[in-house]
Amino acid sequence: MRPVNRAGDRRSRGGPGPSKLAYRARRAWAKPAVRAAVLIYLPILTLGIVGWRLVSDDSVRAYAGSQVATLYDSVAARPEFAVTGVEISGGGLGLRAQIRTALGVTAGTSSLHFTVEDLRRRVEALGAVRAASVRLDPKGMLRVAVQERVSVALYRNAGGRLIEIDREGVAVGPIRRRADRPDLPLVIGEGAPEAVEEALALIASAPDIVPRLRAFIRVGERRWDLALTRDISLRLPAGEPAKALARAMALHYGEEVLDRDLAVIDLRVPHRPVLRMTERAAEHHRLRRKLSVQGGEDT
Amino acid sequence: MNFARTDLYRAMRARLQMAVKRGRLGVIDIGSSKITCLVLRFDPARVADGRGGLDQLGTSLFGAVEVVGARTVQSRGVRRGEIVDMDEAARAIRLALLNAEKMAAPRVERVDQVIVSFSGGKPASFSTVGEVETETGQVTERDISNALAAAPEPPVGDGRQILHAQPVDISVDYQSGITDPRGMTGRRLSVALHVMTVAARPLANLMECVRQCDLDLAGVVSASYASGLSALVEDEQRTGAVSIDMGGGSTSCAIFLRDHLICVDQVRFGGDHVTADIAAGLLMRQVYAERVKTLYGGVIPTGADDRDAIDAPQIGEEDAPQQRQISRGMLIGVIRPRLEETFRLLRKRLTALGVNEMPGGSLVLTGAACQMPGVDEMATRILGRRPRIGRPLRIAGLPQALSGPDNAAAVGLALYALRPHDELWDFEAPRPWSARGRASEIIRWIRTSW
Repeated sequence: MRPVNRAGDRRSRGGPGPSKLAYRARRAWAKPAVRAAVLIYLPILTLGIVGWRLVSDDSVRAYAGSQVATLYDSVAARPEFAVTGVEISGGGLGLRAQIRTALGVTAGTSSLHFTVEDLRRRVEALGAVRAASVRLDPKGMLRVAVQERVSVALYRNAGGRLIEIDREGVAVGPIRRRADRPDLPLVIGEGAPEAVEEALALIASAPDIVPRLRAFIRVGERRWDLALTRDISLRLPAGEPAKALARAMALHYGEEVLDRDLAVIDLRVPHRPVLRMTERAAEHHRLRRKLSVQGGEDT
Repeated sequence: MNFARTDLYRAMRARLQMAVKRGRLGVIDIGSSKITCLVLRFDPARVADGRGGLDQLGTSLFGAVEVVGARTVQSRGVRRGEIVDMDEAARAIRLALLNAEKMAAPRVERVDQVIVSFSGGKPASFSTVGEVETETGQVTERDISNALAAAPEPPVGDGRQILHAQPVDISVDYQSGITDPRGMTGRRLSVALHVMTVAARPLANLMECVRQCDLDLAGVVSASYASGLSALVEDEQRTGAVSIDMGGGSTSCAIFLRDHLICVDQVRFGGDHVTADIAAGLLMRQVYAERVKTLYGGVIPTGADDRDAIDAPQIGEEDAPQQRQISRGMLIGVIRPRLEETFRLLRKRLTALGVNEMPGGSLVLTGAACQMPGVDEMATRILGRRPRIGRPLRIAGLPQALSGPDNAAAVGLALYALRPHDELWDFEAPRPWSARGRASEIIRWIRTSW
């Protein structure tokens, strides 16, 4: 008789056939859902969890970032990407030096570290540059072409600082003293830089005024006062100031008004120039009138 | 008849319908000497068609089912159709099923519902008739239920269980042979039932064994019934035929008339007994006896028998250089008495059942043991009728190796799955009027629909 309890020799008994466990595994595997779960969803889930863990770990992320940066640097440092030189056309020597420092690019800098558009904006941010084009040619030469701004006047702003401005009124650069550029006219007042062209036209129409001229003063953003030597203030109208200035010069040629003791020459009303004497001249005048009256009584 | 204990069968019917709707089902013929597993694929559209359509051979029904996986393994732990070693039997079933699924793999990945055959349990047939007056003068389903309920319970016996309970003949007033009486006018409705009972415990063991293989039972079918379904052509089933299934552990007969199984009986002698006789009578090991029987066995002696020498190694001398040889006459002399005894017993049973009076009954031998040459001769001589060797009806996809008479039961299970006969549990149990409120009808409809 065979033993009823055969737990001990489970292996040896029986004929061929799958064990219960193997049978269940095989039949479970036959289910498409189970196969999909094991072959598709489980790997995706595992990858997702591991990936999320890695991404959410700061040290791993920092390490990956440094690795990527190192790799990027090693690629960027290759000689194929290096700039062979910087060539600047246009502008004076001082401006070129200024541009070089503004570019921050020298021979050997990797071209992956900048974009020409960025460089162009940086160059144009310089006051002395009206327009610039930056180009990196296939040989690695960085070519910068600039159009310089020409300073035509000095502007004393509300803070009292002297600034060189060009024909359009755009600031070219600050200047320390008036004496550094005695050749340029000085404009003062709100709205003066925008109207500097008008001031230049006035100078061109009456070059004789230049030795006497101390400053153009913009009044109310609409007309000019000319501050002249001997503290004369020449008030020009808003319309046709050149004509008024010509009349003033005519007055000067005839009556030498600009050498007289006048405080204000007001030409704002075209057909009636108004002259105001200085305090001292007015006193003197009054005295003389008095004397002549007395003398008249005497004679 | 009592509807009370048919819940299990109702559940199995529901599973069968679900499996057919899903289009995949396994059938396992658990015999004493071999276990055959077929994996079936159904064409739901053609099954729903009802008749199954006509296939190329003109036989109705079989276009809807296809065998996609098949495997036969040696049976272990089964004796005379009953489980004697649960673990071993379950292991053999698992082996057969796994291999069949492997063969079916691309088309049917796995089967969850199976129909199994049951060949043991000493089947016994009873017939009972229920008669009722129709309620309205027209036969309704309720009348049929009432008639079934009115049929007296046959003497099932202690420890036995009903395996099949099929309405075989329905008559309204004097008219018999009605297939579907619903809607017919008549005052008396009588339903004749064929009730087949088997021993309850072997059946429970078989179910437990299948359950251990993680399979849902979609039906348990008598093996003799299943082999008759596939071995007999439809005309034979209609005009009356006896199908004799000569298996390893037992020889059973199933009698068909008017498309119905009307009687099953069994003789507990089979091919294994013949092998045992050879082993004992000629002093051989079982495996050699089986081999000699299969290759050289026969029943009818001829003049040439004594000149044919057969290698028949004696027990303990299998490796000897000089092997014993026997004549074929000796072999026949051992085989013949056992088969004669079997057929004589069978004749006694058939005579008692009144088969001799049955009109036009043809005799069909099937099962593995009928392949021995001369068996049909012997059946002619003893049973008085010339038998036919019944091969299972071809169904699509059945491998050639499995289309012999020894696989009639497995194929029969497939046919049963496709078109199961009405059983008692396919009808609703009759209920008193008080229980038939509208609400309970709605609940019943909801429960049966989902």
